[in-house]
Amino acid sequence: MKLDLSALLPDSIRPKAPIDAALDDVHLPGPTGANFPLPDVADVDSFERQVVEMVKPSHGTTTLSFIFQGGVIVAVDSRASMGPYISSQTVKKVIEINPYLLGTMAGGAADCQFWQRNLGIQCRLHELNNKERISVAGASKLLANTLFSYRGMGLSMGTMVAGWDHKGPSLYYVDSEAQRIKGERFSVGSGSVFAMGILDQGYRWDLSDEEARELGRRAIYHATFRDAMSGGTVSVYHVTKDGWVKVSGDDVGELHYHYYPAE
Amino acid sequence: MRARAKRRSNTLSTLFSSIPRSRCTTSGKTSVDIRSHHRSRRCFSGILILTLSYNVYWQIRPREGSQSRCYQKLNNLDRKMMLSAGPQQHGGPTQHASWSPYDNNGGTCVAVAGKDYCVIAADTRMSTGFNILTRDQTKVCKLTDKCLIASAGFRADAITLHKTLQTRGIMYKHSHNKSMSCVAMAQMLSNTLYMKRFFPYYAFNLLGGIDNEGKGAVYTYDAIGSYERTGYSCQGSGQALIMPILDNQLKAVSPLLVPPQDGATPLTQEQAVDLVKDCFATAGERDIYTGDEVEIYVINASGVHKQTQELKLD
Repeated sequence: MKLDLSALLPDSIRPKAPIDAALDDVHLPGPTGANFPLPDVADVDSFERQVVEMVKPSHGTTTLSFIFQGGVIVAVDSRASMGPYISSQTVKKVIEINPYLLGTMAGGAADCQFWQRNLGIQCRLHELNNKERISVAGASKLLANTLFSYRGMGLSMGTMVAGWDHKGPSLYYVDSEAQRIKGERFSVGSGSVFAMGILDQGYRWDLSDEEARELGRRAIYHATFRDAMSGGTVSVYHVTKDGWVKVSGDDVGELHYHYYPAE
Repeated sequence: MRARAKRRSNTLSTLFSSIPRSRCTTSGKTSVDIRSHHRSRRCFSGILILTLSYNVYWQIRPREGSQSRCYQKLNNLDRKMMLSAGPQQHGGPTQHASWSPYDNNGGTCVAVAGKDYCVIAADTRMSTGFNILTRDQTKVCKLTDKCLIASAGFRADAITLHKTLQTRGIMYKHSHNKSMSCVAMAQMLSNTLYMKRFFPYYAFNLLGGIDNEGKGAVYTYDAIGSYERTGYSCQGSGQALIMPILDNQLKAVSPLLVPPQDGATPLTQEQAVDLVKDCFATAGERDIYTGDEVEIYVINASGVHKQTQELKLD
């Protein structure tokens, strides 16, 4: 029998696992492999602060998610603002990681888009390596571990990973400080206080599917009403044992007449 | 011949000594190997040494994103601390606290997508502060036959970015025997921007072209790579002036609506070009960084067509 001692060899001559080699080929920054160039300036921290001031990355959001008897509801708005300027009213803030997993984005739009796409890659690789879908706990931990390696570098994201796995529905909150919390009710973003108010007031475990969807929609609508940095379209997703479905997408302008009908 | 060879080798060794260890792509040991290897050959001929120094150059140049192996292994916080110790650590010149690697050269880009065409336009003025540096610097770059990019912001970063994308487009074509699609180019631009997350390209980009189904496509970006496909967009110094006009004139149907609604711009190609011309004329009246001339590119099934329109020079 021959022992595999390849792990002891230096990186340069160690034979690579096929998947690692494939990753190399497409130059995907993995959780450890990413190498972002840093500026050659005396004070990187103040440089990063100046950069945020200059490029004004897209910000501002209301997202919420909760578990109830029928699965998980994920509801989000769609506005992105750069300072006082609304840079987009049509941002897709729910990231469809795979047919059973959703991520939400709050904070830096680019950070969320990039790292959740990266999470999608990691989840797919897990599926190929293990012949089974990754659990929500696993996926959220992959993201938390990735973010932990960039802690203190100025990333900004507050995200919820929601999905259905072998244990049933589950929901995690993960942020750029690498905090990871399991829970049944979360709201993230500048409008989260308003959304959470509505959500706490109307939440019960035994809500019907339709009631739960309406609660999510109403909570986001009222957040867009009071928070200037939220608005656009309210999207509602429902995750069940058969995967997620997008339930509704309504313009806030029209929802207003639904909640406050003209006399 | 020998004297010349000697001179070359001297320049080369000065080159070596001036490179800090931490910046070599190979470890310190290897670079010593290269040196002795080089010394043993230097008497042969100038040509050989030229080739050699060329190779050496490629090995020692600080390659982006892959400094030294040990440098790579440090975690990000350590790297940050190493850098925050200042450039003096590797014996370089003093850096002034007020120095910035960035400038803003102004300018405006607009793109409008139609059913089977895409209009992408940018003015040609390049400024810094209150000075106009030139009146005929193009902001648009052709990446493939069906895909163009326009960038406002810092010209130097935009040029670097355009060159990178163009090169990768060519490499893609060589290895896949087909041009990169507009959709793929859009994702690549996002990744390219994000790879400089901590030292961003100070460029605000618009990507316009024809997608795989022959429909017009506009992609709009922030400086660090967040992106979105839209029906029309505007970036740069005139953004806040032009975007409301486009919102007013064009149908802005959200792609997030359920049931989905058709979001294609209702304008014909000629109407879209006229609208873009009007936008620039308007922005030129109120934005000091927009003026001189606007270059308008129309991409459709028959190819890329360029036209220009004079703007005010004041």
